[in-house]
Amino acid sequence: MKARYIFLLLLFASCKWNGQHPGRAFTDVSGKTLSPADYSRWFESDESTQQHLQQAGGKSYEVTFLPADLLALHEAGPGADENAIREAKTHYEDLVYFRLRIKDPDAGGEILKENISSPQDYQQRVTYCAFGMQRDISLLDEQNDTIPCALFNFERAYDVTPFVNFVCAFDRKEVGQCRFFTFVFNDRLFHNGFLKFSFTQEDLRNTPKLKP
Amino acid sequence: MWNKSVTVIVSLALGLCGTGMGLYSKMSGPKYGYVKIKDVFDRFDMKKEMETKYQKDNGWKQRELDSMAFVLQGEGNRLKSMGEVPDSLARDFSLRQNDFLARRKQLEDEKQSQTSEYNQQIINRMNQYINEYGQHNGYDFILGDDGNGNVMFASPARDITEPIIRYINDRYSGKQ
Repeated sequence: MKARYIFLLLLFASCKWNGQHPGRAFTDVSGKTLSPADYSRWFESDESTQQHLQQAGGKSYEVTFLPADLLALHEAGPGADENAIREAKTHYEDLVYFRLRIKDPDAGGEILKENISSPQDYQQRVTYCAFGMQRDISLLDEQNDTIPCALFNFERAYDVTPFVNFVCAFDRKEVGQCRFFTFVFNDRLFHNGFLKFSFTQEDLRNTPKLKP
Repeated sequence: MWNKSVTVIVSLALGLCGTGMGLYSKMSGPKYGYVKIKDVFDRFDMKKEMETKYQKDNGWKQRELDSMAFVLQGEGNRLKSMGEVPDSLARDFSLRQNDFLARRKQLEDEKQSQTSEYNQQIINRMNQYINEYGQHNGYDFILGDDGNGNVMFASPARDITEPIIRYINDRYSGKQ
């Protein structure tokens, strides 16, 4: 009898916790339709699987595809009716959206204030983020042709978060023609050079749809 | 009774297996490999791209400077052939020559600082990816053979230059 317990104990010890909350696990959602509440929960729980990561110079760079349904949901707000969501979705249908997040796991405060010697340096970084960085972001298609960043937004975090977010959008027609493409960022903010994130058309398609 | 015996045997076999694997990993010692640093650096795609970018960024400045040098040389030859050069022409030529030298110095400084910035970026990224490779593949050490005697001998079986090059290029392209 004891041996049976030992066996079960060994079996149990060999199991690994997958870190997912059972109530929040979404498996194989591609092509499925989810209610607005489930859609938001899916993105939050599955966000890490949507991310493409690079690390350089102690910074972590994450690029996440933002489906139009999600953006519409955010714009319409919680509890919005179908019409409001449908209306909001039309605002996001011409472009493909990505979020670039730069974070420093060891940073105490605002990442843009790291290793600066004067307030002018900080101002220079902010100005670059707001007006210059868009030129350093592009998509490369399979023929290595460049798709420029059509819309860019820098979300200022001040001292609230140890990361900084940029929303970048590209022409949907051009992106739709590629089987795979690479998101390229030439980092002149922290001087870490080119950072690349490879996506396939499947990555964009394998997201659930919002229940109409 | 028979079931009980089978359970005991299976449990014992599992226990022995676990102990055996633990002992094997202790006895087999640290896992190590080495890379030929120059090969990795030269065949790293980031290095090739930064080189192209460097040439593109500086190419037109260099061409502009070359044209200036060509014009100045022609001007200098013309003044020489004149024998006695009027002061105003000599002063003008000297000013243009100084301007050319200042620009050349500025371009050299820019190139030098850009080269060292790019090299640093490439080396940092290379180190980052090699570090990741070591962690993912359970290495205790990855030695760098730079041909300067740091690694005097290593068995070719421990040479992981090729897989490292494949890994860092895949990581750089964002595929992994």
